[in-house]
Amino acid sequence: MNRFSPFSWPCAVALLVLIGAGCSVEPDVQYGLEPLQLQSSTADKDRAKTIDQWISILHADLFGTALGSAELFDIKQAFESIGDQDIARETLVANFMQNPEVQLPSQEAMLADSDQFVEATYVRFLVRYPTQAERTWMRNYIQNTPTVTPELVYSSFALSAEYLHY
Amino acid sequence: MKRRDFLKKSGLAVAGSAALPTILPSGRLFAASGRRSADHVVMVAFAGGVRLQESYLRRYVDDSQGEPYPGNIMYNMLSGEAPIAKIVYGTGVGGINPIPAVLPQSIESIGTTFAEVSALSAGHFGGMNSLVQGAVPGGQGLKQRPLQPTIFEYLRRHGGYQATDTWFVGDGIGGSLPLLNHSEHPNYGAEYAGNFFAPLVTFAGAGDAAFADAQVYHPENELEPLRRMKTFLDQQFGADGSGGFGGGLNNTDEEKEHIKAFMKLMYQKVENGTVNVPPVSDNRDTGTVGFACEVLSEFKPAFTMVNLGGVDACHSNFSSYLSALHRADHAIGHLWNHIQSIPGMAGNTTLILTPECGRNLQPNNIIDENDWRAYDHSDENSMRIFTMMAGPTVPQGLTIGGEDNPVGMVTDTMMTVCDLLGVMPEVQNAGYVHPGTDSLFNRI
Repeated sequence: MNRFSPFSWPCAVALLVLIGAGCSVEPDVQYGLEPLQLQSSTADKDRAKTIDQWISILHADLFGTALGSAELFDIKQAFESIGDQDIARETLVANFMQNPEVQLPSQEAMLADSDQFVEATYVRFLVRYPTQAERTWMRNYIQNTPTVTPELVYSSFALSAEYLHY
Repeated sequence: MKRRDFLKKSGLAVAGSAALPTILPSGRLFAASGRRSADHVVMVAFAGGVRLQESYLRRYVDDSQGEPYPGNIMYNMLSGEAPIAKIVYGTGVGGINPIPAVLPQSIESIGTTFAEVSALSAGHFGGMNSLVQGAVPGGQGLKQRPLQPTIFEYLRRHGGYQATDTWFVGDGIGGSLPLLNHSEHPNYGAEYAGNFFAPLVTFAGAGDAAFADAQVYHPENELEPLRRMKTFLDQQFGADGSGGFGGGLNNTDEEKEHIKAFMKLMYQKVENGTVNVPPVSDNRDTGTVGFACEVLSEFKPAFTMVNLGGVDACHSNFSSYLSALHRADHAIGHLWNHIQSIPGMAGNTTLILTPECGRNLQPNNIIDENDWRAYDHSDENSMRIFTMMAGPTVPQGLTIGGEDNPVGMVTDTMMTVCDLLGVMPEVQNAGYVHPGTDSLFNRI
């Protein structure tokens, strides 16, 4: 039989019609970020972060970049190898602080505008604005304690109980 | 003062002292009621499934491969001559060079051996939990913390030991190992946990990238303000600083900083190659014992548990099993020697070691490079283990029981530790251990 016999043309047309009917126009989907509503209190943070969440968020907050899955796996293994997870957290934060790529403001910037530094630190780590009492205490402590550095302030936020929750 | 007044006041004082409990530095109300007979105990979960035939019975390949060559390949622990042929467990190509003994006398000759002891489980999970809890892990799932209290919690709650007085040094983070340092029991738990390191991971594996560069902060200039700010933040959050994933083990701030300084030291020692490993250190067990020696030197704990697991290679390679058994013995010899070099622990430490389970009587079908068959663990022979102990209060050169005459259970090892460290009455009264569990001293 001829490969292009007349019997095959109606079949081909029918197939094209079926394919055409099965296709639909792809919807116009757009992805983006919605504005995050910052809270002024801690009341809504009643869920504990998982170890993955805490490590990943910590890395993002300190370096401004996402942590790779292989690095996350290694850090989790390291955490499993230590009984006291407080020590593991404190040591990881101190270890991150030695990385030259950590995004720390300078001591001068912290002291020059402590109000702005405190507010930015609360927003960065705790995703909320400080209350007036918090703002006042933290500003006074920073200004009146000569040995306080941005590294120590960031570390205290990263190790706070609130930072373990969302 | 009139005599009647004196008697009245002194009587009240006596009555008061009898009624009021003593508040110990650890926060406990009552001192342990047991008779403490050792200051330090090191307990070794020996090696990960050891057949009685190749260990205590000293039969080498005579009782496993049909080769007529018995002998002792654990001559730091056991007395007796090494095999005369078919040597595969040493160093060099083919393992033909046995590792020389590091102890002048075997542990067997300076201590007491329970020649055959009954395990309560034919597997690692059940066996390890038996050693840690003194009970079988009924209802406890894999990757779950023990349901009954562990030896660490008993010691800390009833003996008043601090967190750094009790240590668990594991050979890895596989299975449920990192979860065995405390239970979920409501009366015990993390508050009374032992500290844990899987040092080959913490110091020579993934932990290196995560922790090695951490700065140890100055206590007054840096740590104090950091803690002050954290405390303020926690107060605002209405929390005590705990919660979230994992948690602390009730280490004091001083203990935490001590542990961090120790970690820093270990990273330096790993980099410099100065960790106190045994003379031959070429597998996980010898490496683990090296770090265990460092923990002992640094913290001088009242109780240290060390887990070895190299012999589990026996599932697929009998020659590797023999090699690991020889190295586990070598590591124990080094551990005992090291203990005798630590001021305060020398002559004042009891070593007790027990395999968590044995291995099968019959081999599986896996053949190794020497045409020897491998062994799993699931049958009655897997329930045959041994226990050895040595120390200042342990009778020397004594053997209890014998082949097919088992005396004692795997859970006795944990109770013996409780006996040595003075908390046995409290542990027995708590009622969570396996029925019949007793101190091995009571079985002598």
